[in-house]
Amino acid sequence: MIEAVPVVSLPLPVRRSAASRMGSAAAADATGASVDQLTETYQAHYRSLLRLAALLLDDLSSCEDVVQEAFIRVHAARKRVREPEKTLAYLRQTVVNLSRSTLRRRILGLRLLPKPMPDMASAEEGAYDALERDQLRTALKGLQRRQREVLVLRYYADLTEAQVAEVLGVSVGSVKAYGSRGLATLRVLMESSHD
Amino acid sequence: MTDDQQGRERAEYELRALFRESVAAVEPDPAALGRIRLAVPRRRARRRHAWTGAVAATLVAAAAVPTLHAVRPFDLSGGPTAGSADAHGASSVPRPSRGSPGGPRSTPLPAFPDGRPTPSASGSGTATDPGQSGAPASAPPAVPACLRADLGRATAHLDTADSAGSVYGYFTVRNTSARSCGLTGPGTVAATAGGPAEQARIKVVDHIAGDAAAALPAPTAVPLPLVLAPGEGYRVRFGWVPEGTCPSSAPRAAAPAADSAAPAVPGAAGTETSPSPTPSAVPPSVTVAHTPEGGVPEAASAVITGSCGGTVYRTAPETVPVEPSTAAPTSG
Repeated sequence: MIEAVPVVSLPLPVRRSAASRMGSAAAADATGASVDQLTETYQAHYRSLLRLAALLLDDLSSCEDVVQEAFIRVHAARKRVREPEKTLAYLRQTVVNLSRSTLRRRILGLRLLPKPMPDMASAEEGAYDALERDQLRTALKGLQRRQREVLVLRYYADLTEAQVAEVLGVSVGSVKAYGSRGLATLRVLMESSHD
Repeated sequence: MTDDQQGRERAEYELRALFRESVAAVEPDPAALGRIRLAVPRRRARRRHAWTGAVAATLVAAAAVPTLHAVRPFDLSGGPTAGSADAHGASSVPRPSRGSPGGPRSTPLPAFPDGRPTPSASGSGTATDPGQSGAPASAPPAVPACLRADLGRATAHLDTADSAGSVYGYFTVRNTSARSCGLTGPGTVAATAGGPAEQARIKVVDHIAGDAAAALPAPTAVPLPLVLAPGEGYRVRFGWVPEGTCPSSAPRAAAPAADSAAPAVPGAAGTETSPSPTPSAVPPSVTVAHTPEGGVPEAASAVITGSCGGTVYRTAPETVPVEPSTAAPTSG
C-alpha cells in the first residue's frame, strides 16, 4: 500500500507569463528571488538533509539522488519557494517521502543525474566504510519504517512530536507510540550488537 | 521523580549525539548545486506543460521528435541574435541523451525528451554526427573541476535592442589554465539596477522554452561537468526583456560594457552602483553580470540602458571552441 504523497501531484501554481504581466513588486520578488534562494536554501539545508536521508535510507548511494530530487521538486514548484519559511519543511517532507522505497525506486528509474558515488567511495573509502558499519545505522535497518522515520525526525532533525506527526501524516498519538516502541527496539538492537 | 526525568533527558541528549555522529561523515557532492540548478528550470517547463493539459500534445511531440530528427528540422541554432561566433556554439553543446556514448548520464526523464518543447535545438545537435571530430562532448568525468582561477578572459557581448526593446547578449568565459577542467555549474547571472531603474522590478530567471526571450536558443540539457580544454570556453546567453516604463522615459540604447577581461580586476564591481558622477542626467540602466561557478569575482558585465524594469532570461553554459586571444568582443 502506497501512501498518498503530496509532493508528486502538485500542480504548478503560477505561470511565469502571468506573474510578469502583473509586474507588481511582490510578484517580481517572488519569482526573481528563486534562483538565489535556491543557493541559499542549498547552503543552509543541503548537508543536513543529506544526513537525514542517510539515516532514513539503507543504501547510502541514493542519498544524493533523493535530496537533489527533493530540491528540484520543491524549487520547481514556485508556490513552495515563495514561502521561504516553509521551504525547509517541504524539503524535509519530500526527503522522507522519497526515502520510502517504492518512490525511491521510481526516481532511480528516472535517474537524471550521473551517479556521484564511485568517485566519492574511492576518495573516501575509509569514511564510507565506517558509515556502512556504523552501529546506529545498522540498528535502524532493523526497525519498522515508521519507527525509523519517527526516531530520525525526532532525534536527528530535532522535530517536536507534533511536527513529526505533520510530516508523516499521522496523529501525535501514533508518533508517541512509534517513538517509544522504536526506541525500545533500537536499544535492544544496539545492545545486542555490542556483545 | 526528578532523577528519573534527568536521566531521561540525558539519555535523549546522548541519543541525539549518536544520531548526529553516525552521519557526520556524510558530505555533499560538490556538483550537487550545479545539477539542481540545471534541473529546476527543466522541471518547471515540464510542470507547465503538464498543467496546461498538454498530455496529448506531448504524445504527439514524442512521436514527432524522432521524425523531425530524421528530416533535419528548421535550424534555429544560429538564430538572429546569435552572432558570428555561433557557428559552433549551439551545435557543440553536447547532447546529453542517447547520443553521447559512454557519457555520464543515463536516460532523460521519460515522456519529455530533453529540450522537448521546440524540437529545433536538439535537432541541430543530432543532425550533425554526435561523435563528431575531437569535440570534447562526451569526455569522461575524470578531469578536475574548473576552479575559479582557471576561468578568465571573460567577455560580454550585447546586440542592439530589437524593435520591442529586448536586448540579447552573452558572456564568454575561457579556460585560461593549461589543463582541461570540468565546469561543474552554470554560475550565476545577476542584474543590478542603476540610475532610476528599480531593483525590485528586475529579476533573473532561467530561460525555458516558450518564455518571453524568444530569440534565445531553446534550452537543452547540458550535462555537467562541461569539459573545457585549455583555451576553450563556455558561453552563457541572456536576453533582457524590459517591462513597464520609467518614471521619466529615456531613449532606449544598449551599450556593451567595457568587459573586465581580467577576472581578478574588481573594477567591474564598481559598475553595480551607478557609476555616473552626474546624478541628474543618469539614464536608467541595468547591469547584467556573470559570476562563474566557484564564486567571486564576477567575470564580466554588460550595461543595458533605457529601461527601468524587466526580466533577464539566462541559458545554461554551452561550449565555445578555442579562438585566438582577442580580448575585445567585436560583433561581425
